[in-house]
Amino acid sequence: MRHRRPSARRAGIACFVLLVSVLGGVSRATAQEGVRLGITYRPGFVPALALTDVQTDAAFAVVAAAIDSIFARDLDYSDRFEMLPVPDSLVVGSGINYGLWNQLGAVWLVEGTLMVNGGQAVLRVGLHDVVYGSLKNVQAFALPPVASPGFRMAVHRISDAVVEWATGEPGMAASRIAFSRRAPDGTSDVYVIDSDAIGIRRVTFRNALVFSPAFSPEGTHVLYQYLSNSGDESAIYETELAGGGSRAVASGGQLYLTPTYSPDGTRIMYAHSTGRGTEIFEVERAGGRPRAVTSTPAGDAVGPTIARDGRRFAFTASAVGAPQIYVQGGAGARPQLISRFVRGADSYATSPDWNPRDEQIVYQARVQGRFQIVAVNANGTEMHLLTAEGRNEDPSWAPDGRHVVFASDRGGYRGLWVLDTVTGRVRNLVRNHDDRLPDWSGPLADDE
Amino acid sequence: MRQTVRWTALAGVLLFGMVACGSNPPPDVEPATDEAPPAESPGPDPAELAEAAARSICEQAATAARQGDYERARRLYNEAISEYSGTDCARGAGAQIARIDAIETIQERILFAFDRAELSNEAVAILDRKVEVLRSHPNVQLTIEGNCDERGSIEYNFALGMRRAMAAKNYLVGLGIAEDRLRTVSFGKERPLDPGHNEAAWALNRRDDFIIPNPNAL
Repeated sequence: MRHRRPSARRAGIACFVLLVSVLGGVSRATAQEGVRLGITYRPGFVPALALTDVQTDAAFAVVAAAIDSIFARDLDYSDRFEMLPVPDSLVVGSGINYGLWNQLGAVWLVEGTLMVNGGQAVLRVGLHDVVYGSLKNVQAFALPPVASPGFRMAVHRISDAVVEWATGEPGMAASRIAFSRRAPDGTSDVYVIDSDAIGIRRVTFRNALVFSPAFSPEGTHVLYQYLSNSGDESAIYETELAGGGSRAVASGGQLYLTPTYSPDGTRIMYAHSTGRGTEIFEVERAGGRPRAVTSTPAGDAVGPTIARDGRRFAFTASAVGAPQIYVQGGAGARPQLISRFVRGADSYATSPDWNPRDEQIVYQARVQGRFQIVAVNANGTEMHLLTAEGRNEDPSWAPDGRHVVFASDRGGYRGLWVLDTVTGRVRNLVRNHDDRLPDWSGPLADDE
Repeated sequence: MRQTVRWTALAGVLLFGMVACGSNPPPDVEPATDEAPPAESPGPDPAELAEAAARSICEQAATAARQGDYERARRLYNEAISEYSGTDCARGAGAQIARIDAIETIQERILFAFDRAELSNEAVAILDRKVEVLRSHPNVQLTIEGNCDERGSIEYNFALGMRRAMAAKNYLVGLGIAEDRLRTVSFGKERPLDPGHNEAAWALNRRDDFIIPNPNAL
């Protein structure tokens, strides 16, 4: 079935309401320990969207069908629309009958035409505002050949354009997720997968302890932590996804951990253990001398994530005895605690990720003995739980700033999951208990 | 296993002795070789028979020690001392037992409380014993591997494991062990000793392991 039925959607919302009421109990229970957290989603009006089959000559029906299926999944996974089933009996003519679509309950209508001239495929896509009976936007997009590696990503970018026309906000279909996959021999390497769970591929071949992949903002490179199997060697490496070449960004001395790029891609932060503990360092991507940007003599600092402004960053530090989340307004500035630390309680918070579009930070925190994903503003306000089922770890924001990928054992089996932080809808991305530490890329431009 | 080894060794000695007793060789004749028929081989030298049996035991003990089965190695060496006194093996067994004791003392792991890297009284006592051995064996190097249980987060546990390794290193350096003899690494929660998901397993996994990269220096 290509489209979700409205009844399924209503059932989903009903389940969500039930979930919220169940979690009311969680909030009350945690309040006894001094940590008051409750699940908060903001499910508002979700407009219905009708997606008609792409029209084309019979010779290109296979390509059109491929586009149909990618569109349908992308627009559904955007969680911005209620996907309206289009009756098979409905004949889509040359003109748009807004009255008919209005009667079917559509708010938006997407239609496309695939044209092929001289070997070049062009997809013209129109978005219609059914309520106002007008064409909202229309654009022609050149497509690479269907068999080329860039075809799917090109269609994802068109899906994202439709999302942006309808909502004024970016989509996240044209993106990938990098993660660390553990092999049976105990080593780990980095893999990447498209946002719609297609096209998984291995990108590092170290056969060592390779963790914490981080996409470059332009999506062409991945940073990762390397630790040899004997523990003797550690470094931060940057690998080029297209060519596979890699270089050491930082090496020598003891352990290197948790690399990340600045949003403009010019700087790299990572954690490094010296004889005096683990601190966060920063180095120009082009090279140069690293400098320490944190000072945590009473504990360790790891897991930096840099704000949109490129100046502030959040990180995990154990300065108070238990790991907590801090925000620091630049190198050497005074860090501010933003997670909820209660001395004597089971306070444990790590692995922050700064929203690429706003001030929200997600991280994992122990709630009633289990890790859950928590969202909080960078100034420590509006803290709320995003998960309640199973053990949930290592969240990373999507480029749309509303979806989060994380590792979880919900449903009894570990894997990577995607949560829409607005509606609370969750979908499985990868079902493999050896997949960990996901990192969501930014929007991907032309594919390799 | 110990009984089996002893009886095998003794059986070998007795068999050899019975065969050798069939003839009446002069005492200064060369020992039997494979080429010589048994009936014409020289008689047994009881001392050499004991040496052969003891040598076999010592070889097995050395193998057990290499494989980290110190308990068995120690048992075999003690057996050589009690059953084959006077042999080369027995004369060297005491030193070998002392070496095994030293290795075990150096390798004895220390445990930590959850999310902590402070040394417990028990850990301090274990480290104090290591210091004595490290002082008397100045060429021994030591790799300290910090580890964590599965309950923390993956990335933070690498830092915590390093802090645990550093806690042991700093204590040893404070007692005069040269810093360049000690190396620290962290495996976070990636190398659990016990794969279980219970308090007993977690307690065992929150540990420092002590690896001797150059065991021949002992």
